[in-house]
Amino acid sequence: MTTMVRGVTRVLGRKRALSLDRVTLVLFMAVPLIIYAIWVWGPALATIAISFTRWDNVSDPQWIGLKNYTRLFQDPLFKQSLINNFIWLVVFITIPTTAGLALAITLDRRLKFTRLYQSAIYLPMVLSLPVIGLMFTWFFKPDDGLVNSLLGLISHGKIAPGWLADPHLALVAVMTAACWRHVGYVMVLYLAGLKGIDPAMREAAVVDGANEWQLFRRVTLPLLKPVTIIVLVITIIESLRAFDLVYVMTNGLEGPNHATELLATMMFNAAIHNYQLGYGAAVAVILLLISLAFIITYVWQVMRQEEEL
Amino acid sequence: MSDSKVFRPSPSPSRVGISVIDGKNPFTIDLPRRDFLKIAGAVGGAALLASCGVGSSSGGGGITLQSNLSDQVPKKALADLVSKYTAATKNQVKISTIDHNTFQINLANYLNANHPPDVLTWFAGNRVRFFAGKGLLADVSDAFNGVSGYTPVLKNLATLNGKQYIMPMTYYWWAVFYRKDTWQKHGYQAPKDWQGFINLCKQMQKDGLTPIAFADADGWPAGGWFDFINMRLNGYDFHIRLMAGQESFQDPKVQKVFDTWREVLPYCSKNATALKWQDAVTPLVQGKAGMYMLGAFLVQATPDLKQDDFDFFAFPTIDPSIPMATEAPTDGWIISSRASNIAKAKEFTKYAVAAANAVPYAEETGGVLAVNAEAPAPTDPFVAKGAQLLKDSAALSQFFDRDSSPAFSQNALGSIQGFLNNPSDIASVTKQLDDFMKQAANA
Amino acid sequence: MADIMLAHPAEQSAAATHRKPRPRRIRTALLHVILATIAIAWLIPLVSALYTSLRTFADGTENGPWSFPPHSLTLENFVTAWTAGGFSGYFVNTFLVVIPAVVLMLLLSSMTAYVLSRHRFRGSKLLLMVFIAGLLLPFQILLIPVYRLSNFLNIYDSLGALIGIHVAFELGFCTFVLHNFMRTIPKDLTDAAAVDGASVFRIWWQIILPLCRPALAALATLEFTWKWNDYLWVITLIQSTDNATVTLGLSGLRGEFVTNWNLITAAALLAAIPTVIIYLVLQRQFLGGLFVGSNR
Repeated sequence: MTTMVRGVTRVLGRKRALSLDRVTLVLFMAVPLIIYAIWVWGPALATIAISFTRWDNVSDPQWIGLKNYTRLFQDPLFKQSLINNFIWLVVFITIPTTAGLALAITLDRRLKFTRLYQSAIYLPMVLSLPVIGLMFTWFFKPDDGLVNSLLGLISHGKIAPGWLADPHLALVAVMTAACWRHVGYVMVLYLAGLKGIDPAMREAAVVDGANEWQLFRRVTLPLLKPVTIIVLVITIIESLRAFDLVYVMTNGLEGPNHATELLATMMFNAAIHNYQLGYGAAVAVILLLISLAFIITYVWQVMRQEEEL
Repeated sequence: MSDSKVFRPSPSPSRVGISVIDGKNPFTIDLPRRDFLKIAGAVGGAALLASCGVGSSSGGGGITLQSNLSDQVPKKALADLVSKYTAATKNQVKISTIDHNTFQINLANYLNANHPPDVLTWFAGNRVRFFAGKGLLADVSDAFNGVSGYTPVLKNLATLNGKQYIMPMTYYWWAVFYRKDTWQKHGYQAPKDWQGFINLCKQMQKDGLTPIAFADADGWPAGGWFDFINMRLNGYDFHIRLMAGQESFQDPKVQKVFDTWREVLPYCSKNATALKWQDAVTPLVQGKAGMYMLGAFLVQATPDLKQDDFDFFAFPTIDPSIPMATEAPTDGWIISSRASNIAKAKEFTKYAVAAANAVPYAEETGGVLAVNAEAPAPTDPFVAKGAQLLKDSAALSQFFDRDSSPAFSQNALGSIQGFLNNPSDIASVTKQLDDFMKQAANA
Repeated sequence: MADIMLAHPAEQSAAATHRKPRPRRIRTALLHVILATIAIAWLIPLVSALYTSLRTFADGTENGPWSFPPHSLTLENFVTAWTAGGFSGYFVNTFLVVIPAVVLMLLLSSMTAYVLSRHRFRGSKLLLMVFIAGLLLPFQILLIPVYRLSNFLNIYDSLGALIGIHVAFELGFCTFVLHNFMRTIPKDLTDAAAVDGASVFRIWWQIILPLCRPALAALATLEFTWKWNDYLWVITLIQSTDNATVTLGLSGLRGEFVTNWNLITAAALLAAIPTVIIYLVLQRQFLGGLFVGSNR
């Protein structure tokens, strides 16, 4: 910090540079900020306002105070969505992240076919979601789907769950597809992160006689911390915002008895499908509040670290 | 592809990674800067240009038509209708086709736009009244009354507060479909009533068939079952009032609907809520399933079979004292109230719905009928039988979602999926349905 | 070559501990078996999509999605998708949206991230918060307000409406990732340049951006893929098929009732080709570390 201040002051010694640099800095900050304010925060603040109204996107909105929120807290779908989002978060933050990290570490070395493996695991990300959803719906078909065919082989036809038809398993089926996709995403981020690590640091550890686990635990993982933070934040966001695969795989109905209902699907159905923008906006505000708890923790962490530097 | 250049390895590849650069002169790291700038500039310009290309929609006195007819065949039929119209009148019509579901959730956006399309496809009944009530649709009463061959039933479906807002064009029928040769093989006969229907199911089961092909991952197929059983048990009027929120789902009459439905569930495809409706066509075609209660569009899902390979019967009578009602969703044309040329738009819709034009359109589309009463009886026996079924019906319903509201039907169909998975618990489903209806009314 | 060896501590460690070559070979073989299994498992959905796309609609309906051997094998779906679907126009539109959007979002967010990671000023924490909190917004709820905004700006139903929201919405994510990345770049580096008299702009352009290349490449790949496959914004902001992108074109192949999944899958595979190319091209930049340093 102090070196930087000194450096900057030295630059600032020259007056022309000062004003020009100032202008640059202001522009660098202001242009993105204005775009962001117009397209993102403006509509977002509008959403908060909409959450206090009854609005069908056609007539004029009517101010109804907190009614959308009181309705929300009595809505069993809301409770169900919260639980499902929580399950999603817990599973997402453990399974695909660990798998993605393990794959990245394994593949980030001189190994035959490593590019091939990397591509195979990443490539599913490029396929359009309706098609991914369709494929997984077919995998989980109860009678002749791939999953049940395999289970049938193992159990001699005794185990044949209904998957998407089963209120207890529908979420599992949808999350399988989501996790499958997320692994590639996490792997790519970690691979990018591993490139940033100076090989010398790992070499040093090896010279000191560290085995692979120690190398990972004491050197690689700590060095990957910035990427891990990104991965965690992204995973949390993706869990809270989870929407597309659920929507596609359940045809917008969110499974039998709304077994796969999530906050985002609930919000989309209310606001877009059902023309109840006020109610959908109330769900969005709750979702935003939950997310803010995570983000404040993150920014606070970042700031504290920076103070320490 | 040009932006890949931005990250092209520099002529002398440099080590990327922070530690490597430490202590070295950072300015030796070279990125192809000129390329970067050039591309960035070009790209920025393109963005500007693109954003200036503001929706210059209908130019030169033509009209724009926003269509939800995304199936290949109807799409072509509409294109043919339009070119016929253009040849006859020299008026240009520009069609934009958006898939049915997307169109449905975006109609308000289309109508609210600064330059809304002139003519749009839409559903008669409650769905058109909703938008007409918001002042988004042009009053087409004069055009409507100028069409000979519109029946009072159609007028009712098009009317809000004494004015008409949609020009009905086609409808189709729901019934119980089967493959002729499967039935011939086993010697089945179309049942007369509910008991006959159950007996037939039992017989089919004995013969090793799945009696009723059923798939409900899409949600709406179950809506058809609910509508029919309710209309057969409690009559069309009660059904419509129920769908409009004027009756309670916890009424014992509705309880009885679910009780009756439960009688046939053991004969339906297993795990139906995991299957899309097209998945359940496969066993029907293979002769492994006996019948399929669905709309006439069913026959379009089997390209190798002809319409004549199928036959159908009306949903069986349950209470003989109740007049027969049939599901016959009706589609037509609406005109935006801010259309650039309402007169031209009306002219087009009048042309389209006239029997002389609507009938060839319906024939080309297949599985639908022109609503115009002046249309001659269809020559195709399958379609003719469908037309007769609709003529014999005392009332025509529009379908579960169209007779209620989007807000209610979306949630309700999810609850009905719950019933299908756990048919013993009717009480909680009917309570949920009432709750959803209340929510839909309040929002 | 020696350099490459150095970059691979795993192999070094084997040499250092003087392990016998044989168990090592077995271990490597085992690793390959495991990795190949995973890779194949991950490819199954793609392979099944390919299988679906090569069969006719009638075959799929009459024999079910998994019937094997197929009763039909044909490229007809790809031909139909390309010709009947009007896909070439959709491809052009999508490129016109995605390329400017990705370039602009990366440029703008790297500016923000640069300022926020290198300069402390009053309110910088708050600004970082503003960007990062925005990335958490559930975007589905912004659909209608942004539709209204686009209508107000008179850009509804134009590619500009899409570019605008794509650039703006991803500023949060890109700023977040780049800020995090730039924080790890030693300050001495930029300070030294500043002492040498380099302007803020020059430091950003000539030091920071090149150093961020792996992060930029990773972001570009991800963003390109996301924006290419975006569907919800397209359906919300585009009304006429003239301005439709690939995803809207794809959904246009769905019927009201009957959907030819074989055709749609073929079209989806065609639509995925540009994203695969982008991945393969940019992969070198962020996954191609094996070659880093070999020439220096």
